[in-house]
Amino acid sequence: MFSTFANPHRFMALSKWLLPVFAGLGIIMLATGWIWAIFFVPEEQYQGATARIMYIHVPAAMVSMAAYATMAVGSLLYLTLKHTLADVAAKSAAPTAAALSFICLITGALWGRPTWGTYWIWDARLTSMLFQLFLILGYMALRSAFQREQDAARAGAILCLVGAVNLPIIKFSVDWWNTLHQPAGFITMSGSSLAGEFFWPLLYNLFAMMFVFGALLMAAMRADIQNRQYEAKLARLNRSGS
Amino acid sequence: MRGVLAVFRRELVLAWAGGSGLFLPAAFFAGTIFLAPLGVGTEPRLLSALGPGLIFVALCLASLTTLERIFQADLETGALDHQRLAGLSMELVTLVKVAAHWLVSGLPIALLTPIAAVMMRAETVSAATILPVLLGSITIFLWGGVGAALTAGLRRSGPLVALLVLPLFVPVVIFGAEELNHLLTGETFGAGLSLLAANSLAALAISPFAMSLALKLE
Repeated sequence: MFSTFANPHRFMALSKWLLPVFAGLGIIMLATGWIWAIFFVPEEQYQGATARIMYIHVPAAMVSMAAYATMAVGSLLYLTLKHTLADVAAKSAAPTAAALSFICLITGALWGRPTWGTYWIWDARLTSMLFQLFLILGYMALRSAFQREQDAARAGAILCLVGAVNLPIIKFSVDWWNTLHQPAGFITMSGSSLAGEFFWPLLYNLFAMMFVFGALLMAAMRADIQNRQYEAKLARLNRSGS
Repeated sequence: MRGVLAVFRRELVLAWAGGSGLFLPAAFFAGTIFLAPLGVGTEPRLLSALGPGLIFVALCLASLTTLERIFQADLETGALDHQRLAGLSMELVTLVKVAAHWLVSGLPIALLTPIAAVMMRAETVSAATILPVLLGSITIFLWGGVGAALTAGLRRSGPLVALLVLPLFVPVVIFGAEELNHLLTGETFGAGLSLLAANSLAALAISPFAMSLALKLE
């Protein structure tokens, strides 16, 4: 099945239909999801309306991790199978992954101010999300430093995989450090299982964010492939013209 | 194996012939440690609290100063191609290069740790103080080697390498500083030392493959 969709032409034909579907679903679901979360979900008992930021914060965090996983899988497939489309996927997922990590950190800071009393806390999750953002920014900076696309692809893939191997270690070490330095004294959303009235809108928003990511990924991949086709055609024309 | 040993000897000779640059990272490390009290004040309790973390941060930064020396020149002159054509395993060659680099740049920093700890007004300083920094510097230089291999073909790669490898140093700084803190306050080794060693082993297992893959020419 994988090789069926690894063909760029087949990908272009398929994504031509899937992209508008994903984009439409993403926009509609995100809009309705936010309206649901802001106007219809009951207020949280302790945090009041502040907890509504969760419906952006949590989907952004989860989808940014999924986006990094997309980059890692794409990099692995590129290194092992040398398939260009895998590299295009990894490259195209990076900006969205970075943006979602950033949104997660910003909303986390804005949420932290009223609940923890400070914008930034060296909470284990915030800290490891920050390092994930640094890894993605490093990936993008490394790629842009190379002239040739193949060099950029291989270097980026190696870095992404090294980062993917290290990310669990970083998360573990940050957790270990955090529990060691500050005993839990703040409210976390983890552990406590969310009641249904909060759970369903969150799940809905998560799917909305997934569709948005899928649409952005496909749009970026399509642009990249079209750019490559254009470059190839230009090179052909230059050769025949001279 | 003989070829790999020859590469190791060559690296050491080159480092020795390089002269003044040899102890540059150690000097950078010492300079960072000596500057800190001028910034934060000389209050002993403050300094001894800051010490372990500062030593590890200075170690990370000092390791960055000479990273581009590991592979860049050999890639430009074609020495790496010769070693590959001679049938040497590139995983071993890159590992040996990093080992030689660590020996002249990382080991001196580890040996300087007791002095740095005394400067930072630590309570108890023993020879064991070297151990966390020694283990941590191995990991740091291995991941640094990966960053150096990835950017070997680029000009002026310094700030880029820093962005690439600093997130990978996080576990070392956390476990290392914690363990050093234990030792400097007169306690025995904790779980952090095993985790630090495990981290070094993981880097040792992964980084040679990443480095040789990154240096592979089309």
